[in-house]
Amino acid sequence: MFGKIAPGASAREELPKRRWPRINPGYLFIAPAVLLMTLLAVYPTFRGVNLSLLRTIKRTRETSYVGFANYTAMLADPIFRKAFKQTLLFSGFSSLGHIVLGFILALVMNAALNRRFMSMCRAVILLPWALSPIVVAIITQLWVYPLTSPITRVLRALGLSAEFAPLARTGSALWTLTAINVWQFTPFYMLMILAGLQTIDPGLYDAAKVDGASLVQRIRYVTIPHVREALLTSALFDLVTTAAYFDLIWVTTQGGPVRSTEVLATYTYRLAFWNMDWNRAATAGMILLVLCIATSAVVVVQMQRE
Amino acid sequence: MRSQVVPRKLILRSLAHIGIGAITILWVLPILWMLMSAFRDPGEPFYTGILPSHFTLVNFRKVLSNPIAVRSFRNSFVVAASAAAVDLVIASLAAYGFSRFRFPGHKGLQVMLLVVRLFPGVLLAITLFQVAGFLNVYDTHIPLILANALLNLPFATWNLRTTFEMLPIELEEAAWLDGATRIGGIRRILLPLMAPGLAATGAFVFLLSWNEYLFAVSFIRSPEKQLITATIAANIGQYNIDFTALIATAMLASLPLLAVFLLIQRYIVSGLGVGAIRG
Repeated sequence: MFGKIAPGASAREELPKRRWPRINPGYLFIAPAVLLMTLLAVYPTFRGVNLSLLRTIKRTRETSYVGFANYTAMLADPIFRKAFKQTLLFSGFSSLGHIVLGFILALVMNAALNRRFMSMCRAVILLPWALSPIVVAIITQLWVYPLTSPITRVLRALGLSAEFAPLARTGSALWTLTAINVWQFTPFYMLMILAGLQTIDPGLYDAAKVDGASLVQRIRYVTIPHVREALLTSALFDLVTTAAYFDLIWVTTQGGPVRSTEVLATYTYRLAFWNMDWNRAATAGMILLVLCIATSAVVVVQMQRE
Repeated sequence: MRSQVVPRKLILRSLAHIGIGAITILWVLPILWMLMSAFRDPGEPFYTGILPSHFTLVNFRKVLSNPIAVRSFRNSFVVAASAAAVDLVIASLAAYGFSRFRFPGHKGLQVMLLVVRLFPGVLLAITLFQVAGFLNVYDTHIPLILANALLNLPFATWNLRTTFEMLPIELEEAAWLDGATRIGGIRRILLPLMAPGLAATGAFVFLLSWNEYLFAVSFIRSPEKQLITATIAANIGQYNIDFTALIATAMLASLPLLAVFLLIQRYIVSGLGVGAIRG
């Protein structure tokens, strides 16, 4: 080591400088964030994995290592399968609604020529997204409860005495929750898509117009290719976020009636905080995590390729 | 020819604006209904009319004189404000690091933030519940504050990173030439310029933490430590609910935040998009 000192450089000057390895100062700035993520996400995940590989005998509280037995048992459980299927339905149709409606709303908003009016409408339409799911749950409960529901009143006024209780029926409960989710979160996706639309050079539309393209053709050949990447990425992230959605479903139906609105999040929560079956809850939670990570990995790989 | 084209365009334009206005109002109709119903006389049943026949403040008086509700509001405020403060410190450091330095692992740490952003809340609740029991902080506000800080860290970092990147490095270099240290340069030059971005980021973390329910219901047992979302949710399922008081509580829990949200929404877009995941 000492032999490497360049001739002419004095050793006294060179040595103290190299005593500490030079750290990129960037690491020092990131360190607190990494610490928080490690303590609260990475470490607990390992505990979660560990929990999911154990089985506890309730009476004696003895635990034993069972390998992947919890996973195989869970994948064979019909209620788990029902929850899994309903998670896919709920998050699939919610995301579809967010993206399609959000795209249409963004197109309409983008076409408004008065900027001030547009930004006012944009801000107001975002309000449901800023509401707590609990507040949305109250509105929901009051709107589906016959004695308080304005919808029942409107139906009566129209002479339709059909009973309106969509959350009480197994056939309609999940679709009602999907619709409420679409109502609450579509404005957010509208905002994302609108931000993308605003980056399109208006000259492109003029050029297409000169070439005789109709409105539909302009959307099809100018707008969509420009925002397609953003749309696909948003849709995948949306799927992942909505697959883990919990609050509104838990507060309004708790997975009922007859498990018809049970999704992985409510199923997992029930196992953990109601049945105190931490091993199976951790198993269900890990399956949900794998589902989320696998879906988002598709997005990340896609973005790396760009 | 020209005189014919202009009015037609004008009509189309005004129709478009009326359409957008109508969609907007229809979209927020349930919220408007909630705001109106908060002023409804508790003695006036809902089936007598969609809108209240007269407006009263009695519901608000009832909520504000209910010690459990008032305490829940205060608890929510403490938790949300603490989470916002923790995130502002940690995320502005991280955002500065990501925007001004390139180092091995730069991309990997971005992906880590992304994974945290997509982490299923219910799994986090289970694992943190275990850790909280182990550390003996169950039924305190500490795990709530930390969990909210963690979940909102990605948003805060991405939003502040964009804010940092809008400020040219030359500003800092000028400060260094005048003898300022790196931290001194950040504190005296950058932070004052970022005040709107910092305020909006903090306010949004506050809003999301205030609205949060899953952790609030999982980590707290004592009623006097309960947050407002959990208190409201506990009331929804009960049989003889005082509907109008519940709506008034919900309105008090959301209206101040909606007002703040209207002010800050333009400053938070960059932290929300998945486009924030860059190298």
